[in-house]
Amino acid sequence: MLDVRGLCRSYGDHVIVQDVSFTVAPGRMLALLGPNGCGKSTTLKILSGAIEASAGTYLVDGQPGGSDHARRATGYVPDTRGVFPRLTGGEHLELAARLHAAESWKGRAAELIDRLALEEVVDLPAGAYSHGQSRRLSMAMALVAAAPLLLVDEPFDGVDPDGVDTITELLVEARTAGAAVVLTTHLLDAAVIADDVAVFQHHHLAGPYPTGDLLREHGTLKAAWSRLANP
Amino acid sequence: MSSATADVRLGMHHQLRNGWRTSRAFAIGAVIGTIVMHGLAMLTAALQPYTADAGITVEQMLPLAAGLWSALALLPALGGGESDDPMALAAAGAGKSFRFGTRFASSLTDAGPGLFVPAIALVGAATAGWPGWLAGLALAWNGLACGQLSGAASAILVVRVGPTIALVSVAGVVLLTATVLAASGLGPGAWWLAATTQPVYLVVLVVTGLLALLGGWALNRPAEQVVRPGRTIRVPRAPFAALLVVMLAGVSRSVMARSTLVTAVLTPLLVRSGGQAVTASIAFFVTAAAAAVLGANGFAYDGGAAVWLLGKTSRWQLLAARVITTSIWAFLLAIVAAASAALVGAAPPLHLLPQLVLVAIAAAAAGLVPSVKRPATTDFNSFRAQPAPVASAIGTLSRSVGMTVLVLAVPLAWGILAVAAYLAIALVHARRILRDPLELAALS
Repeated sequence: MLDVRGLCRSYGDHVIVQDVSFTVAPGRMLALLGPNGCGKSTTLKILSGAIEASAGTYLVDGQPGGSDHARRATGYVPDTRGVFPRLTGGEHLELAARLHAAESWKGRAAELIDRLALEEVVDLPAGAYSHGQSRRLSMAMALVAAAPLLLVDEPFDGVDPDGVDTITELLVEARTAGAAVVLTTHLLDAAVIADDVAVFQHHHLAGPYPTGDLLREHGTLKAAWSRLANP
Repeated sequence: MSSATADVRLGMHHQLRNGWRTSRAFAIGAVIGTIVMHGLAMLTAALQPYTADAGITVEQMLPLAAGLWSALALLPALGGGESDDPMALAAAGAGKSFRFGTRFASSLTDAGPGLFVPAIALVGAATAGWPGWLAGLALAWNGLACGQLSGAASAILVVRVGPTIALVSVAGVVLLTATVLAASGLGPGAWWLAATTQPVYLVVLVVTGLLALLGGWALNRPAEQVVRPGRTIRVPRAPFAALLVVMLAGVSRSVMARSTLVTAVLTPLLVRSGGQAVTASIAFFVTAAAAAVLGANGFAYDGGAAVWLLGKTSRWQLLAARVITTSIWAFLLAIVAAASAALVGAAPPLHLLPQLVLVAIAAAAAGLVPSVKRPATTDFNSFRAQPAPVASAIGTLSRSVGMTVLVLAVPLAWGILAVAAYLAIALVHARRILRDPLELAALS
């Protein structure tokens, strides 16, 4: 579903991402870990089509990244609030469905509003949302069209414990339904749901490694993270 | 004293830090130039007995005064709103005098124009000694306070009673005032001209300046973040149409856009009641100013969703939607401004419709390119959702007004060519920004 080869990104002389390669098959979940500023969010921004790579290529569902097909096949949760301040929650979901060219989305939207506890605010402008509510809405926008590739950047940031559980369930369900999922997070307890883990080392990517192997070798993902991020 | 000096430095920092070098210099020049021109315009009236030999009349200078009035009225709508945030003030190290200054503005950045008050006073002093100094000071007070008053009042009006009732009420009050003045034999232009040549004018100026300050102080309350949408929009199926509808809805729901609409009605009415201004020029310059404000804030309408949107649509669709959205709003504001001027007897400039369309497009193009390269995150974290730094607003305004002057100065065919060329350059520049959206990243 996602095939990344030699991805690089720099701003002037400042290198953010250097020669990153990995693949994610349908029905698999990859967790990208690493310290702040190591390039995780930049990598997802490139893969979502929001910014361009300085070098390297990536294919989404066999099509070049950035193409209309790739954009429609990708559900993206940015690491920002990611909402339009003057649109209501319901309008956000409708816009996301339209831009994904989704046909039957209303039932799914209603389910996501319910599960992500957005009923009380769905008719309010998103500018009035709390940070956690904005993150939940972003999650719903990524999931409403059942995109086969999900790029999820820090989905648990600012979300309460119940919300973390719900988002975890939704990601697992999406994977079970056949979606390829790329997740970044600093919540290593939540990252264990991933099938594979890759860790950024000074803008280079180590891995991916099977999560089970890392846990057997290091005991915890925190120990694996410390070892791999600071070799 | 040292605290006051530190506050001045802090004010300058907030005023200027967002601009890159050229833009910063331009912004300083534009602010000083505009205020000095305004000071000169008003002083010309105040000191007409002394300056009549120079051949400058009040009517000639009124459009400049109106331009500054619009700018000052719009400036409070541009702020970050952090002056109400004690943590932001504490973090910035603001002292008593700075807190006092920001009480009249919606943000630390807005307080900046107040730093140029001494410039007006100096021009006044150089022109006419102490009466000029006093007049300059009082006029600066008036301008800042009136800007704050009008910004706050129009924002409160549209939030509290809705844009339609606000428009009707404001237009009604101004029309009534103009009618009463005309009935008293002090018809358009005459009353103002007569008043400014009286010795008591300076006293009136000082008194009204103080009153305006008090009013501005009392009215300076944070505007609400968003206008509650009256009804949910239906998003069309086609992606581009969906994008366009969403952007138009975002602009029409913003407090800033709605208060700008009120300003577009107010300005020509006030200018018309005060002198022989030309309707067409009002429509053009209100369009240019308002569209510049909209354009400078264009990225903000998307908020953090800009990054999400970049992954969902092609760059060209996004740019086209922005140009169309801003053009529609700019054109709408031009029509509203011209119509309000027509209410008080000026002929609507229908024969200039092609030029109005061109100005709207030029203004939209001016808004495609931000005037600041690396805005600070705080500039975008406004709970009023009105984030453009002053340097950006002035840069965009200057490009917009510059293109307007060009469109009016040359034949229509050349105007079309010039606007088309400028639009092409702006689109290429904007596409580069969208490819490396550092400015957009700052939104988040």
